[in-house]
Amino acid sequence: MMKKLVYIVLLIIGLSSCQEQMVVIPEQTTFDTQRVVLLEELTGTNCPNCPAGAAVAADILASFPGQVVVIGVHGDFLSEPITGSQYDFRFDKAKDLENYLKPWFGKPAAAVNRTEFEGQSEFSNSLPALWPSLVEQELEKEHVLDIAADVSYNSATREYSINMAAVPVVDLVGDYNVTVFITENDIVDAQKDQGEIIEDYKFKHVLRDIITPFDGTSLATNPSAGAVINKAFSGTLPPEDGTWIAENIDIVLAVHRVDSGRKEVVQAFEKHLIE
Amino acid sequence: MSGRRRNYLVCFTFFLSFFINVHSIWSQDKGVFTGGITANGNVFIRDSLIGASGIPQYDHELFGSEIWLNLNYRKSGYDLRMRFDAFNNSNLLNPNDSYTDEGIGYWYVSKQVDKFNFAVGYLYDQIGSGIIFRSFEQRPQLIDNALVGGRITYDINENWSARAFTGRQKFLFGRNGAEVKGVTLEGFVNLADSTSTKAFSIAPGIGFVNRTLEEEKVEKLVDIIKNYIPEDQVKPEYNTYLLSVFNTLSYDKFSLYTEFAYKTSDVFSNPMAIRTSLTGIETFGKLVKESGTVAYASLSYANKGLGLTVEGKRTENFDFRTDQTLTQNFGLINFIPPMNRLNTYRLTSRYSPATQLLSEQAFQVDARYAPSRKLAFNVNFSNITDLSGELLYREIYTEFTLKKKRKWQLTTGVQLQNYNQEIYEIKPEVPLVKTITPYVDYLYRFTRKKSLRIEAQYMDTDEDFGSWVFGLAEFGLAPHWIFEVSGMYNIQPSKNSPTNAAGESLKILYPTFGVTYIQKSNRFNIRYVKQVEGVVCSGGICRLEPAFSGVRMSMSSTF
Repeated sequence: MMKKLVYIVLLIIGLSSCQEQMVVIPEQTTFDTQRVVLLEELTGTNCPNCPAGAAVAADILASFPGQVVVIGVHGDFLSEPITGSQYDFRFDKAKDLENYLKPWFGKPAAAVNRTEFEGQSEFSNSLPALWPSLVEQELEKEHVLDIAADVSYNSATREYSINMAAVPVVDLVGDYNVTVFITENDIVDAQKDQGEIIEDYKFKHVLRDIITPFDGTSLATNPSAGAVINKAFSGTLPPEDGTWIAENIDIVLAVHRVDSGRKEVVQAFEKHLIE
Repeated sequence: MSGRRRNYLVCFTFFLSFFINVHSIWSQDKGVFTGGITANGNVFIRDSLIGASGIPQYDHELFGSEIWLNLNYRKSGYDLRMRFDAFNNSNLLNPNDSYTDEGIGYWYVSKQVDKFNFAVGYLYDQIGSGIIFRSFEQRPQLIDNALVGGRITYDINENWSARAFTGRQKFLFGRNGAEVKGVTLEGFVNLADSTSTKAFSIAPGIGFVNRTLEEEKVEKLVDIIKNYIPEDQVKPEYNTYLLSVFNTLSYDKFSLYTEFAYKTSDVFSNPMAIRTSLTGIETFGKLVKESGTVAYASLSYANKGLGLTVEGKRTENFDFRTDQTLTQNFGLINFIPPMNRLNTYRLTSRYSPATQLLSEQAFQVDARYAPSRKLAFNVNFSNITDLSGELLYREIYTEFTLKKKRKWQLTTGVQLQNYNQEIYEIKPEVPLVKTITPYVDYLYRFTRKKSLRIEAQYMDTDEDFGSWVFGLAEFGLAPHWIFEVSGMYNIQPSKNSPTNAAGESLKILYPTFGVTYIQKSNRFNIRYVKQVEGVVCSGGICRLEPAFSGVRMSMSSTF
């Protein structure tokens, strides 16, 4: 019996001593494309893991400069103010958007160009570490549409106007909407972070308003390559309350498909309200 | 016809033909056909005050259900099993979302041939106490991590057996990917000489498990790691190996179980490790690469009404999954035994510690003494810290039982707990929850058929939701009916209790009314439930469940 036991132990040791080729960690990939990807980060003040998600979003912006636009959606789940909060970032359209981007397993989660990636059971991915690779997959795709926009702002009346032009690079099939988001950077407020509350957390890309319906307004159907599609939007910023600081406001446009239950974003665009 | 539906059809046809063929070949052996069905239904009634809101079931789906139908057939050394699973707007998988799917959730075929047993299909198995491998099902949390593959068992002699298995872990109606292989040798050696009256034996075992990640999973890890700064980068490997050596030494009235397990260096997610992002921000959580160990021992003594058990465990870096990007209870290949008492009363089980996979040191002492059939005492003490010594959980539990034969039974005692809510529930800056919970459970039999059971519990604490009182009355009309009414009342609310518009903590009653009907092996239950948020544990595995409001129905039947 002992002999058999020794053979088995030797076999196990032999098997576990087999060496495999070491995996090589490649350098970060760069992309030569005009495509701009929209990353909708579902986050919340009461979400202890969300600062880690925001850090990944910041990394993505640093890795792919000018090729990614991030918006931080404080919808409903784990988004309520916490002890020490001065502001409440929630609003009805943000909640609608959060529900529109379901299913997701928990927060933080991100929808990358509102694309359903192969092998992913949730629409918005709840694992921030995977977001960069999803962005890469989107950047690898063909660039199909250009967006340009003029943004003007009257500091006396706090009124703004946006004149946009969308130009397909190739013939497109389907119905397309455009959604206009207003985001704000550098809001300092309390945020949960694992085992602590950060009193002076600096929020980036906070979604403050959606001036179209949350799922966009109609842009074009089957637009042809080279056809210029113009749209104009306007509004007024609310009074400053420590937030709504015009210098920190960005205008984000996203053109996305809406027919046959499809949601994918084909191009995003971002511009400061005040350059 | 979709690929998956075609697979169901092929599977069903295969089983049907197999059942028929086996029946015709061995028609002299009628075989044994058994089965069972379990079904749950939930009606969701929104109550945003207690937090029962914000998921599709409360918003618009309103009803959710789960069904499991088992069919088993044994004949001439064959063992055939199949299970149909259906989930309709179920909140079992994720308490904060809805899950709908259906199909063949399990099938299994085995055959005994001389000293060999061959099995294919969905395998439930474990090595030792499960520290390096355990495939099992826990329906309350929709954990079903059966290994889908094959297994050969060889009975070397009447005391020794070896088995080997390979497969991929089940996840819902798909697979989690990584290939898992294992071998184990288990035996029994009687060391007592033939003249001795004292039992003396050992039951040694050794187990080995290998997990091979598929290309896609390694690429996924590489995609994550390449975004780390060079100092944080680790190199994943395709193969991870685990070894476990275990033994049960029995001498007279003593029994000592020991197990030591080792895991080779492996990449896993450590939520408390600090990662520096490319932009210089420090955040919690990153993939790390470390080897792991678990040491576990349990000594027990039993003699004439006295039972004593002492257990100890040390765990370091033993998170072992089919996919290192999975979290919580998903994709776990192993099971590390919990080191605390399994409490059943509503308030004594409110705070339960989930087993920590990366850093845990724990011991538990349990003493039972029954001087007569009418009287019994139980004292349990458990202490759990992380490897740096930070207290995670401590419990002192006492129980006293007094009974008068066929008339009444009284069970009472007190529980004292320290519970690290910050770690177990990831709630920032919350203090250690300290509770004192006296309880009483009294069962009175009016007649042979009529009985009344009353529970009363009080939890005193300043933390979390504050203090609670719980009362239950359960009237039994044997053999068919049980009527239940209970209430859990937040008698002294604290800062986590629901508040009104003015921000004042509310004293809320969480009532339950229920009826159970039993007819032979069929059981039907319907309950109106309002339930506060809390940790729910089953089989030593815990998760935080949100509040519930609605009607729960369940039925089970075996045939």
